Amino acid sequence: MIEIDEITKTYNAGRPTQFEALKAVDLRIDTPSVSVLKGPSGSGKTTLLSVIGGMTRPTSGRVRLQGKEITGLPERFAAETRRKTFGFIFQNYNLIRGLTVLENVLIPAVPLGGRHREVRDRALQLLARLRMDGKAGQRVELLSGGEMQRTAIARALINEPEVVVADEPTAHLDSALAAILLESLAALTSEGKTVLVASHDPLVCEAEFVHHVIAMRDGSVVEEERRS
Amino acid sequence: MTSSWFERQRGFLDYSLSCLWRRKGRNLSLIAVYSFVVFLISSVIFFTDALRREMENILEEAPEMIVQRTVGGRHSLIPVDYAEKMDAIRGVRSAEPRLWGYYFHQAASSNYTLMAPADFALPADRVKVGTGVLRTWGTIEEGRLYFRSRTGEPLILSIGEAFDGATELMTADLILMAEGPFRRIAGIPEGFATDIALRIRNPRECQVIAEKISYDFPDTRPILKEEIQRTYTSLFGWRSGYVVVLLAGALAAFLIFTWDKATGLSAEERAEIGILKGVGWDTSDILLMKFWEGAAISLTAFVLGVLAAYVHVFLASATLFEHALKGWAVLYPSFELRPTVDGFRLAVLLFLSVIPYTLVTIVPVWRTAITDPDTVMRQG
Repeated sequence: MIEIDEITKTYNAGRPTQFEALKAVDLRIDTPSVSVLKGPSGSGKTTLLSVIGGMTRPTSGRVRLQGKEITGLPERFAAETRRKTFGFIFQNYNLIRGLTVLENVLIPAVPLGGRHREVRDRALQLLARLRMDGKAGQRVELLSGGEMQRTAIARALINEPEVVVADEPTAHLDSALAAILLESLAALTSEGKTVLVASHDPLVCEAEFVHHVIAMRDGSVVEEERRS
Repeated sequence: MTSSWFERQRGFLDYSLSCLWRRKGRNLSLIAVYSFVVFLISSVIFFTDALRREMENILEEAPEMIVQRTVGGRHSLIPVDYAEKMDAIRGVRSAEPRLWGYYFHQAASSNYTLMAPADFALPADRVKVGTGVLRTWGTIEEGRLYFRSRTGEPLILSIGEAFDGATELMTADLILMAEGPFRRIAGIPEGFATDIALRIRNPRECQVIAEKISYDFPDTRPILKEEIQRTYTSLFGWRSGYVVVLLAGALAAFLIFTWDKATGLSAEERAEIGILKGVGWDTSDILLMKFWEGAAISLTAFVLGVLAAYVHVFLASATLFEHALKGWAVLYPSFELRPTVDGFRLAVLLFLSVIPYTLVTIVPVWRTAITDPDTVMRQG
């Protein structure tokens, strides 16, 4: 279970531009499951995902994963948790231009120091599963939006994380590609992974495989719906 | 554990090389400029070291002391009988009067060194010359050199032998001849010599013997071998310093170039660091990757620069610097230097070029890498 206790996040504290992105958020997310954070832009979805995934530190409050607190970890352990426990699919893909699809997918595995051939084989298998095996050697800036998204998914899964975090994964996709993406996310739950998605796309929020929908507004959770 | 460590380093190195290749235009131009600067400095170091070593080898055989006579503070001819008196000083193994001087040949507008060694083996009408003489004398006809004596009489000597090109550093402008013709050309009367060469049994006693000579022969000036060595060392040091000063402009341009690269991370680079942190790299991973990147550039440039300098100095006779560094004589000998590499000086150059560059590139990365990945990506 992921437990989120009284999380607040304030940007530019003490300055005229101070902004409270999260206001005492309390949540319990079952594992494995698919949870969707929904809400309009600026509601705090991305910030909450960042805090849960250890990408940013909360101003106060704590996050626990399977009973273990991950918010106050020193930078080195926070990074280790990020790479071993979480896989991120960013809103704008955040692929590194100039590198190939395969090189991008391998990036999270570099600090783990696994055997190069094994990691490479795993990356190629992932790409094959996502129907990207023919593109492994292609530079990412030459890919279509859907191909970039699938590359980002493969990168998120390379270290076999427990939790996959996806921020607006369908934002730049047409309906057909969005459907393919959702299939891929649904497949992850059958592998026992927890999927956390931030989206205001109804296609995602109403998908059958979603177990938990969390509605956010102005930095607070305003509604929760748990589906059986 | 060890295998994992190597795999990690390999992963970072692979990633760094991919990144370098991604910005190949910029990085290749950086390596070109960097290599050129290393090439210039290494050339000066190789050249002066090789010359110094050459001088040391040559001076190894030189007498421990030379005694000159001075008149009015200037070098004058020394009576040959001084040699017999100096030979009697305790500790002196031998004292040989030497005959040598300079000859200006108008047709070639060059100065040549004339010597009349006591053991000169050729007939009195023959000379032994350096290859520089053959190259520059200009009026050699049928192997004969035309001289004008001190009194204006013509004197013709035939070339009996030439020095081996390998000794050109010291023999380029040298003409050896018998005592008779030398005295006529140089105008040195019988009973006098240019100076006296002293061999000392125990080199540690040189200073004491020099003091004794100064006392017994107040019109003379003893010059120790170590003083000559010191003069050469400072001469080459001065010349190399002079060249390094000339290269300071290139160095300054390179430093500005490096500083500019190092201090300004582009938005793309900042975003990339954010992505790396976001996918699980920590600050030390990013610094390690950047370390490999900086090390790959600086080591490549260092190796290329040093190799190019080696070829330039030892295979191409240091064409760029020869006039600045070789020119202690009127003739520029076209000798080939024996390859001499001073490991310590090379290590210092490595330390002063690779490490500062690597550090300078790491600092701004470190500044970016210590912030939250989320913040870095939002800024990017």
